[in-house]
Amino acid sequence: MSYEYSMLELGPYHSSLPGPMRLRLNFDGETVSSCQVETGFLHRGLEKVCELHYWPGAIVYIDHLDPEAAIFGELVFCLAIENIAELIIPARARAIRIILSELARISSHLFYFVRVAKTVGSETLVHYALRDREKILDLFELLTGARFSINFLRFGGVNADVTEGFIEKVFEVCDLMQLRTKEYNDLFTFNRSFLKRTACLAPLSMDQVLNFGITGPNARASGFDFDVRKRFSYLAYDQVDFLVPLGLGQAGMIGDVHDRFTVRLREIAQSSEIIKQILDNLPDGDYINPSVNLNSVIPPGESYSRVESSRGLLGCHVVSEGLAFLNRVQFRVPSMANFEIIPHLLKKIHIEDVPIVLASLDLSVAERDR
Amino acid sequence: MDFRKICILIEQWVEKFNLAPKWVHLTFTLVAVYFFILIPSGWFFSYLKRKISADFQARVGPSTCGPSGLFQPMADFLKLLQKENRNEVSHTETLWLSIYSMIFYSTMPVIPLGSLVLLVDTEISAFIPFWATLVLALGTILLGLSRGAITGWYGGIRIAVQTLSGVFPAFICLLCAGVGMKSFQWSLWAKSQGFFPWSWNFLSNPFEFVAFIVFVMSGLVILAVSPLDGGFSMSDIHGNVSSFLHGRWLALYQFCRFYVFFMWSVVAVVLFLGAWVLPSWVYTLADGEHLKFIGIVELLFLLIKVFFLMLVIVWISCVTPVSRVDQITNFSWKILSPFALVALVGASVLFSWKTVGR
Amino acid sequence: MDKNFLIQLDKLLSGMVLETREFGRSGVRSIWLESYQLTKIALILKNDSKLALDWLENLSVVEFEKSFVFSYFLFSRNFFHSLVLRASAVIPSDSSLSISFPSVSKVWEMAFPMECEISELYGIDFLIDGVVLTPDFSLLPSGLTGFPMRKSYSSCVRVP
Repeated sequence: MSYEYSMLELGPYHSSLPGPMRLRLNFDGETVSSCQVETGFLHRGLEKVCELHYWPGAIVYIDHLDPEAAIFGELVFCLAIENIAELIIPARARAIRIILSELARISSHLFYFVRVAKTVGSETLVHYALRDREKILDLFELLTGARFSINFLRFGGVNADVTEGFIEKVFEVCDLMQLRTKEYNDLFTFNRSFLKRTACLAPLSMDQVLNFGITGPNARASGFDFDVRKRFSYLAYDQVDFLVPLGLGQAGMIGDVHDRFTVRLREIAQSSEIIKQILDNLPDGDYINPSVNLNSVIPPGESYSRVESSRGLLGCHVVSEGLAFLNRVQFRVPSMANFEIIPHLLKKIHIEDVPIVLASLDLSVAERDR
Repeated sequence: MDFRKICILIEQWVEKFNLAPKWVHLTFTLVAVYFFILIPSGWFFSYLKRKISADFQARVGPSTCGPSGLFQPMADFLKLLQKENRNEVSHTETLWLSIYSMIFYSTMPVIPLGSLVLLVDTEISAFIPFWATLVLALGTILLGLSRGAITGWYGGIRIAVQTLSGVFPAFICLLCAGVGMKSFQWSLWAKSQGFFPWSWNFLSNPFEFVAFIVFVMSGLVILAVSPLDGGFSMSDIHGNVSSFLHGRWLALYQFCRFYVFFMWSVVAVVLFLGAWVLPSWVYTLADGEHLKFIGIVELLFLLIKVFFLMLVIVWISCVTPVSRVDQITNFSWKILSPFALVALVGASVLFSWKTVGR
Repeated sequence: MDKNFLIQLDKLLSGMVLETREFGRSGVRSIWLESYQLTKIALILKNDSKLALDWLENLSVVEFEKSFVFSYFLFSRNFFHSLVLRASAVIPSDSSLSISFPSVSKVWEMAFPMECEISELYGIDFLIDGVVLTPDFSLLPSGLTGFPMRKSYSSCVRVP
């Protein structure tokens, strides 16, 4: 005989939650019988703000779409505008954009490890990952002047060129990250206690991935082979040789928390490889299209651009009427689907595993609410 | 006026109330143990733990308060003591506070800290720490219930379940260690072991070794020491009983948790790791006046072993994720308990065989 | 674009399409429909074995020339085709009134959160079998009146 006798409401602020959100859990004993998710606490009206600002000024706000990986928001917006305005991006600028994107991906995945490790109780991994993430944030600061909201991409290129010193440091970080992924793999991936907490927990089925439109590492962990960099190649990703890791079910089930962790670990290694290939063949030339005039207006038209952000497919629909202000800027964010799947994943989960499942989805409340 | 004269004066005053002078000695000894052994041990252990875990985690750890941050634990403790409570203490809170305080003064005389500080050495001395851990669990359950919220109730019940699952194998291991001993007196246990590791109880036979490992792990389960700290470790959603504690309550709670961990480690060292026994030539050299000095050396030697054991556990906890409560209780019932039983049966059979053989 | 895909598309949707254009400069076909046919066409596009447009990648609403333009960005995960469905609805002169529009949540489950968001921000009631789709929670703070994403929303001031 089962019965619901308790309800727990978490949020909007709680240490187990990824951000301001409310989670209403109904329990049957110590297992979750149902769950309601409420978001919107971080709604800042970003899309409206972009419409109200002169189009180059909007880029600063888009940094805050996903603060942990701000470059992806900038990139998808710039690609959409460049498509409408038929701006040619110099090869060197494309390469720099790829480098920054992949560094942001690594940084975001490292912070993912921090969240998962914190919920699992592995303090050592928390500090190791934060330490390594600092090196990437230092690179951002070296090039752009900021660690998080870098505000570095411009229409037609980037704000500044990379220097020899920066390139050298990036190589060092890439080598270090490849070493670290092996270290994390040895220390944590198949650690017995870590496996006990993550194996066969909250597996995401392929049906759920497809029905809810889940993309990114969460979907790839479930075996869905879809990566925007391969499928709708942008910048110079078609010139780079890299693998797209998929979930292997090494801990027992494909698409469980453990797979979502290991896929991101392998993606870090792949991102390091991408960066190294780009740096080895870094083209000479301009870092920005010299013909771009910020005082001009975007011609009338519309565009939909996609990038593979650290959480999944990030899309941007831009509509211009040929005025100083854009008519519409709309973002398709990967976190929207991730939030929709929460009630389904948390069903029949033990109460103590709820934070682990939430952390494993790599949720971004800022992105979801915009 | 020196200390001896003060003692004599107090004894004379106590005799007026028809009380034996030994109570004065006991009282002073307990106070000395508390202030000169327990608090410095807690201080030192906390410092070591924070420095070692910082080293593992590629951090510096405490470094600003005192030389190499040596005074940080004391500074934190004093800071907590200075914080006032927000609300008035309710009756349920009074209960758990009383129980936690009771554990300190009721079990301290029983802790075997060497021949000099062996205050209570009875035939059932070894069982008293068990009582302390069960009472601690009761206190923690009341702590959880005093929250008046479902998360506290969950936490309290979890503590009860986890403690019970650990007590059974620990008790079996105690019996296993006592196979061949005539009673459970601390002094007898010390006499049965030697200075060198090969003369320690845990290496006397494979079953005793198993019993030692199971005893230590059971202790971690009972006392919820990381990485087996299940219900204590998580945030509110898991029903963490202590997440609302602050100030003096938090200081008492954390110090008590250190104390029982320390107590359990002392018991484990005395039962299995040679107790406080020094090389035999030390005892032959000592005469009446030097016995007290030897007692102090024994105490220090015991403390070194205890800290070593505690730091090994800290080492493991630094690199191991935390398990769920149900995983811990499963582990305790399905793995530790059978091993403990096998160790007990094996040790008993071995002892019988040796006795019959003679 | 794949010729077979386009042929199949024309074959299935003949007579139901208002206009066909290219979407931006992407080379992706954009089809304009009547809003009342949206759900029916969505089902056809999803269930047809040669089209199999089973993924609604994005749903975007744009206020353009006194009407709302709904853009459905579709994708086939088996054949990797893309298509953009378009429909429009006239914005009422009274900006405090909401309008009705058919929902595609029954066809593509992933449309649900997007439609919930749009309904609140634009004041559009999405209908599933005549019943208004009700979001589980409100994105906007309680007490906020009006529909912020509409151009007529009074508190908006453009920043030069």
